[in-house]
Amino acid sequence: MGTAASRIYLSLLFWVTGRAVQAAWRTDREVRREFDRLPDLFSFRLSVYPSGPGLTIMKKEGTVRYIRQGEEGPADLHMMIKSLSHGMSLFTFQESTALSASRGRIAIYGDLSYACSIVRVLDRVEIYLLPRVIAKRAVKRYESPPAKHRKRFMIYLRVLFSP
Amino acid sequence: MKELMQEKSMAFRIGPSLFSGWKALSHIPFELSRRRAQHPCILHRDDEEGAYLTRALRSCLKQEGISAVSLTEAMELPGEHDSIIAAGRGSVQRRAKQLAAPEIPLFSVLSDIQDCREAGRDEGLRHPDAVFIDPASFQPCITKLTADSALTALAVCTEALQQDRIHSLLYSIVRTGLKFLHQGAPWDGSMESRLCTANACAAAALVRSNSPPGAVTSVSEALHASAFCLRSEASAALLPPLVQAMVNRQCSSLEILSREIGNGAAYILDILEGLRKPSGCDARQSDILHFAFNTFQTSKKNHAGQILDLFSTIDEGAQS
Repeated sequence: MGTAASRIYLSLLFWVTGRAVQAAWRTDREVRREFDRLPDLFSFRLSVYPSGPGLTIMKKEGTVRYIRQGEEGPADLHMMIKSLSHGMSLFTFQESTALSASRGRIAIYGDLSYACSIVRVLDRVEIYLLPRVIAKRAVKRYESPPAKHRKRFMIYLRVLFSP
Repeated sequence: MKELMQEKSMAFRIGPSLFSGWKALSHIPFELSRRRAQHPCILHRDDEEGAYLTRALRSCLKQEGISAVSLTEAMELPGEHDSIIAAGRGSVQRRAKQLAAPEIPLFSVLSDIQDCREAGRDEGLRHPDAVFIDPASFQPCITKLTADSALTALAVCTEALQQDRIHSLLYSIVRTGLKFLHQGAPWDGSMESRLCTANACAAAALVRSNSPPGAVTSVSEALHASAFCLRSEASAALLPPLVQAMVNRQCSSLEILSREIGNGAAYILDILEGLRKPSGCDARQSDILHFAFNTFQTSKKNHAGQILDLFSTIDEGAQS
């Protein structure tokens, strides 16, 4: 895939994932529990080096918000994917986040324990967003959450229509 | 029960960062930026291997908007560069290590054809900061050359095991090198076996940086320099007696390897046997043994004891 097409694909995927994290925080108890462990005003950014697409999530006054690109400040935790091609491997679900990190394709700036929490959140969100066959490749361990289909429907609705 | 050396004190030179596998070259722009370098100079061999590596490298840098000057090893470096990327084996890596000032990042882009020196310290020179091995940049396979590199790596790793006082850090890298070589079989020129060879050679280079060359490596290089035979042919001829000598004197490192995998000597000889055919090393084995024996039996220079020990084993084998 060409560079421009990769950028468009990743931008779209980051937008969906960012809004899905926000929606999953409202819908899923496990995701909410992970965010409860993080301090207030905690912000997390996932982006592609050097100036590729990215997403920023911020926990502020007890709520979790997806911040649009361009409106974000410096993040407490920054996970940087080292190149577009590595980003494509990760987000076309050829390899999981854990595998990608173990292959040195993601650089992490910030507290590693927070990074582990965020990876668990992203895995959970991917389980909701993706069909089982694809999600199994994308996450470290696939665990089907209770009432998955109802929550998945809610998350998709909130991704599309929530402010 | 024999154990590895107890590490009350030891010395080990940690080598470069190693990025290996598909898309390994895509790490380069980030690794350059991490070291605050933006204007790399690519130094490459003036042959097909250099052309393939450089083409892949340039396309990868271009994707991230980095422009690089590209030179062959014979040319002088331009004034404006803040890092060097050496693409290819042997001489180009040595030249890059000589040219790169200590504060300048030095990267190596390697293929499956190596001298097992590139990724380590080469005769007192610095080691590269990072090594990249990406199958996408390999030239079309020349099985003989790949097998040649694998045999050199096998000789280096086996010789390191010969030392009884090997410590666990070095042992783990030797073991990794042997594992890659074993995984590479059968040596059919598939991308998997070529990648295994490239990784094994990088491991062997680290072993060389931390362990003095033994009899087989020294003799092989001397025979290679005298143009009597290729380094790999000499290694293939001299390794079986070396392994036999190690078994005879119950070499402790070999016994530890045997505890892990069954029979250490057979494991090494298996790898060697798999490599003989693709490297074409069978034909002149007896010639090489005789030449080596005649040339080095009175050697009093480096490793004289080891060399005489090795050749006495060869001699016993020849007489029997």
